[in-house]
Amino acid sequence: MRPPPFAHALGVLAAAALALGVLAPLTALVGRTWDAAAARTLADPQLWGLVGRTTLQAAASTVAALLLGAPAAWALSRPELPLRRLWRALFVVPFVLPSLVAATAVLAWVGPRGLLGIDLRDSWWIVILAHAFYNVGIVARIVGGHLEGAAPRLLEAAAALGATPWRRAWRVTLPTAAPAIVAAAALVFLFCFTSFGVILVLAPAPEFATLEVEVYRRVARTFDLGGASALALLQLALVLALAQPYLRAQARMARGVVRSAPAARAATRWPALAAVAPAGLLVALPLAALFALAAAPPGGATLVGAIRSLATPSRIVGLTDAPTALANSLRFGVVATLLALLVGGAIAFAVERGGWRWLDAFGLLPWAVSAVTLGLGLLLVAPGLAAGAWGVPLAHALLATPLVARVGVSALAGVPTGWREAAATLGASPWRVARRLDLPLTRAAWASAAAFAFAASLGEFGAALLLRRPETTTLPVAIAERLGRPGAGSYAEALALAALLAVLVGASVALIDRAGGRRRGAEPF
Amino acid sequence: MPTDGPALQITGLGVRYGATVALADVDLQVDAGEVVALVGPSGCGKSSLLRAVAGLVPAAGVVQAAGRALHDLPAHRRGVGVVFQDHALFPHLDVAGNVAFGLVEARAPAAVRSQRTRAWLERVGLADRAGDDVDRLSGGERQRVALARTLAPQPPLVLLDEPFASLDPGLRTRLSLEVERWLRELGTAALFVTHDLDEALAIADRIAVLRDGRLVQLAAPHELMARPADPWTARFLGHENVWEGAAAARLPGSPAAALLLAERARWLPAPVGGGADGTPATCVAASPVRDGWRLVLDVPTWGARVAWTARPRELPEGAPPRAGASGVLEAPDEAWHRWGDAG
Repeated sequence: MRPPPFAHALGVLAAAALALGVLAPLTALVGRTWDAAAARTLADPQLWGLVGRTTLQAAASTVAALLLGAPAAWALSRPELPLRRLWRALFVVPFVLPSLVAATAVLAWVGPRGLLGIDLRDSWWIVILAHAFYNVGIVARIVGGHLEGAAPRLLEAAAALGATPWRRAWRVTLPTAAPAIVAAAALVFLFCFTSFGVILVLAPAPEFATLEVEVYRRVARTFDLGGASALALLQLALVLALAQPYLRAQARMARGVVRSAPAARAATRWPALAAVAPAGLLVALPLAALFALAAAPPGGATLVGAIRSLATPSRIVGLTDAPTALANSLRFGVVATLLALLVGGAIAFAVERGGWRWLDAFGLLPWAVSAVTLGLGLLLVAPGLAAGAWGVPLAHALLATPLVARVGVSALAGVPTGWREAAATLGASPWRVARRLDLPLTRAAWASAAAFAFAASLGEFGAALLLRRPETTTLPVAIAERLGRPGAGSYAEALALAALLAVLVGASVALIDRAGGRRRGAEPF
Repeated sequence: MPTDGPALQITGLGVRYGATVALADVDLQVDAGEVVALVGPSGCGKSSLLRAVAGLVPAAGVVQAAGRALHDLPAHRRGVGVVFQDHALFPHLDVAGNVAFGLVEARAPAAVRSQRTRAWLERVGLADRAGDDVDRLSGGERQRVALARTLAPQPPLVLLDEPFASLDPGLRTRLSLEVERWLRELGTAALFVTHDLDEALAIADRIAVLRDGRLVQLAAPHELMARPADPWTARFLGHENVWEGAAAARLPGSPAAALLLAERARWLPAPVGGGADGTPATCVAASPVRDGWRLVLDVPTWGARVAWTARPRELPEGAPPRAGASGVLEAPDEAWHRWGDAG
């Protein structure tokens, strides 16, 4: 069917929004990079040491996440695994968890005043542990989903051909899961390579800095905008290069899926339980530590005391009070979600109904441009706007747009062409088809996209930190403020705020996702 | 309903997918109230033709309906009803919602809409299922909903793409006869694709045969069966006694190609004394079929074998002849269809 005019109009709208919101800031970064300071920055051997260390860190983190996540993925695909839905839900938690909450949770577990009593702060161990905690769920979900869809029938065939369980694992399960494993590994590597909040909280010493952290420090501490721009562009180039294996593996993954009947239950559930337990504990223990310590803070502080002090407007100590931060976070979240739905939805319709294929890839750009980079770019291109009340929600909307677009594109692609053709032959114009078929059939997907966008905005830290002013401070920034201060009191406040944010994010995902109706929503990966 | 001109007039219709030509230069006319079947082997372009008429694929050529040019209109403005092979029922609407879909698009007033929806649900025997989810329907029920949905807005022309292919044989026959009745009652012209020749013969006023994207023949059923356009069409229509080239040259009249219409010929077992006139033919095999016995006859004069179905009453004592039984084949001139040069 011919692309309808409204799809083109949406394409123009989306392209304009992306050009203004992402291309303009990037252009400003490129402009800033053309000065002597930037050239000096890139020639600095210390910078390349930083890139090398970050690469090693990301590789180690990825290996850790894979070693724990791959067995969990296999276990999730097994029908005999007890409490399968609970495990699955557990592995979604880190994905929606704000980085600051994740960092605080790990801190509550193995930090200076942690539950375990060992202090790993400012070590590679805590960085890798936190990254594994944060990303093991991604591995489990991506690989697990793939295994579940692809493997059972093939395994039966292999068994019928005489392959033992081990041979089947080696010759069937592993090769069929390979594209998913590569995709998951590439994605985790990217996340760890550009890690920000986790590093800033758990390993603030200079030798642990990623490029993202370094960009922030140059802006915030030395106001070296040229150097920061150069580093941001370097990081963008590296991310774009590193994203290639992920995109290729993902394409191979989509091809390899053979839907078949579910696998038969194995006789014993112990192998599946043993495979899922380490990853499950890795996710559950820091979360448990966070809530335990928030309820009973160490060092003589109390939860009641923390709440009382959080509620008090205290400009004297330079900390943002909780009601202000909460109100900011919620307000920014709503605005960012609405804007992201508008632009992301426009992208999805233009791509799927208007044939604007290139916009699909272009729409991912805000993901490649990291949060801090985007914040810096916005600051360069429109300082007044970026530092004002609209700066943070705009940045959050841009960062959430790819997520909405991805979910929207796959949801719209899932509406069979035959149904839309049937509607057209019954007299429905393309606009009416969109209203009477596409929207009702994809409502659940948009609802879950909105939920993820809202959660992402609530938890976003990099841009919110870079663009913050006292009156635009969000919850994650308020947590970071308190973690940066000595004393049991501010630590207790940080724990309480992190617990609050975790509950808030969990509730928003659960609520909005449910509001979407009975039909299953989509996930961005 | 406009009556100026045929219900559908196609001129020079062509469809291509990249370098593949799916349909080439097809001319076809469907008169008002006429039912035309479209037959041909898989991949011959049947579905492409329907989709081109409905405006679902870009096509070259002229498509007119009741004097109105359709080829430049998008699908939703063509007013052509389509029944899809897989039904394409909307899963988010209930049975009544599906049937009412086209009426809503036609901006029918609510009263008219609900009245017509109800009438159609009654007509297809699903009045008590109005509020049901479509995924709880059986195959036959889904098919009925799809038909009701297409016919409810009263399109002057309906296209049906193998509408009964997914149904089991008994249901299929019943439903196809019902559909024919509805079409005749409403005076709706229809073009329907089928791979079931019996269905086409039973329902259609005329049958169009497509081969490799071209229209080979368009004729009334009896005409088509008796005078297929070429040997390929004859074989496609299920004729077994078709000869071409050297094999045809040995036949009476030495045509380039020939078809023996078995039902107009007759084989008689030779009485002991002989005397029947015709060509000597020996039965070499006999196997039971639905309406009698299928005999394979060896005709030495023609150097050919002929398949012929014997009805029980045409045989002495109603019993099949043994293999090796001799007899004569009566093949009058009207039993032959000859082609001047083999196509």
